Amino acid sequence: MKRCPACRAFVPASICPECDRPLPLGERPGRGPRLRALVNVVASASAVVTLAACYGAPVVEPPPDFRFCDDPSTDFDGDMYCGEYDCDESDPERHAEAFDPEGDGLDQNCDGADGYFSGPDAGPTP
Amino acid sequence: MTPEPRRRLDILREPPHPAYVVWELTLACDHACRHCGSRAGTARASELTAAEALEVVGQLAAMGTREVVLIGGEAYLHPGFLEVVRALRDAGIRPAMTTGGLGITEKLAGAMKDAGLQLVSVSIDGLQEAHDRIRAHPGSWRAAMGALAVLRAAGLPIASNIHINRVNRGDLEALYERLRDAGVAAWQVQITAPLGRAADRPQMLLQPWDLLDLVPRLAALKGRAHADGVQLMLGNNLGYFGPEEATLRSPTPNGDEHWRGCQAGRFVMGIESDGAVKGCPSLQTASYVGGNVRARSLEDLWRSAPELAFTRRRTVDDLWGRCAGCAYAAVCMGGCSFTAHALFGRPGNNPLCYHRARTLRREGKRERLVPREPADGRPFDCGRFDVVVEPFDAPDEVGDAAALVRLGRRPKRSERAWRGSTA
Repeated sequence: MKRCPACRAFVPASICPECDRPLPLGERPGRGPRLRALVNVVASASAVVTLAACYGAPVVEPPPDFRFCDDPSTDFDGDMYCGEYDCDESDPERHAEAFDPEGDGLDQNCDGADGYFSGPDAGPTP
Repeated sequence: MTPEPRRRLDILREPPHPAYVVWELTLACDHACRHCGSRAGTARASELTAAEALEVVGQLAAMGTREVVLIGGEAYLHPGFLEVVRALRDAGIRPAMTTGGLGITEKLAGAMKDAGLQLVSVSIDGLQEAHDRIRAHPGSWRAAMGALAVLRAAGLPIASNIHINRVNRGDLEALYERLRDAGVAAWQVQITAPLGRAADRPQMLLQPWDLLDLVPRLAALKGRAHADGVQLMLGNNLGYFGPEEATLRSPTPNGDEHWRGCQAGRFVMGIESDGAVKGCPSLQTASYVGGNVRARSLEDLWRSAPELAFTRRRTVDDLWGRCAGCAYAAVCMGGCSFTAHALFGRPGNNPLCYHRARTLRREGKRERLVPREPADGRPFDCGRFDVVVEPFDAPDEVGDAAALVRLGRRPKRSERAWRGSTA
């Protein structure tokens, strides 16, 4: 689900259920079917781990979260993103999943624009 | 213990199966907690023997189970406890345990470690006064904190868990600091649901609007926990959504995870001490037991018992009340199934929801849970509640701690009467 840039709540459609604001026209770049499926798979597993934790099987040491990095040895900034998901390996605050507020002149989420780029082929750009 | 990289991805490549099992090894207990959902204390009439339990271990291994959490009652009171732990370890299943800690001695801790136990979570329900009142046992808190130390000294990773209610909700921040200093790696928090003995004490339970204070405090604590290296995790009946959801539901500071619905019968299974099998250990026995391992194999129960499969088959059409019209309906599916069922006798509508309470507050309203029918008096039973919408600033009388844990309504039959019957 998308996140509301104002209150950070999850937005299942186009209006934030928490603060009633519409999502900005510049939506987050499409993640693509492979990435979306991967995110859903890992998130579902997280729910399973949480349920196990209901009866005391906590994640004692969280596993490294290299969902978006096939080769962790190239994750030089240690933000768990690399390759096509990280346009700047010198800055851990820049990667495809970073929060990118519009107006600060910075492209934190590597889509080539300040804020969320709405072009049809938007995606992380090196 | 080195975590397996991408452990969660490995699990989800397979079709639904009981990857995580919570197993009530015995209902015998050295506590008689006032909020106990299983009304633990005396063993069930026909609990699985050690030999039968070992047979179950074999079946779990064959089904690909990865972790088993042993609970009770108090699991260490089962004569085959260490044998079962050893068998789980030898079968390649990670054994863990949740305990009240009252009987954890140095000797037992060492034996548990040697048998292969890999995680122990000690239930601590607040600071000393609140915990001892809820657990109906003076000295329980001191014993539980002592158990953390003993287990840690034995080389076992330790964690803690709490059921939050109106008795202990003020203790959270101070308790967190005590647990952090005790060296817990994780703290799991959930709310007391009106199940078992908690159903007899409705005044003890959180009201839906109490979440408006609780959830932001937990989000703040989670930030501290990250900095302290403690994993604060929400149990599945605490939530849902709101601006703090990603913070509270993600294991990492900048995670993007959220509640994704009840997983009972998908990758989780519960086993009661007499061999009854459910999709989740907390689900109400009367409605959700699919069968018994003495009569059918676990594989057969998992595949064909409809009581275990309800989350695999339900749709948004199964939601009702306010949950049916919620923006998060399709992903949330009414929150925790056993908690909703404990209120209304069926899942699909859950007023104990942070997003719902926030929405109502914006309208100047709140929902109050009013007890209507008492529970039966059997393990994992529940009564019925009505939901009343009232002005947000309506009066609310909260008694002192002693009043909150007092019996609020008697079950239909006493626990002792049920134990004496064959029903």
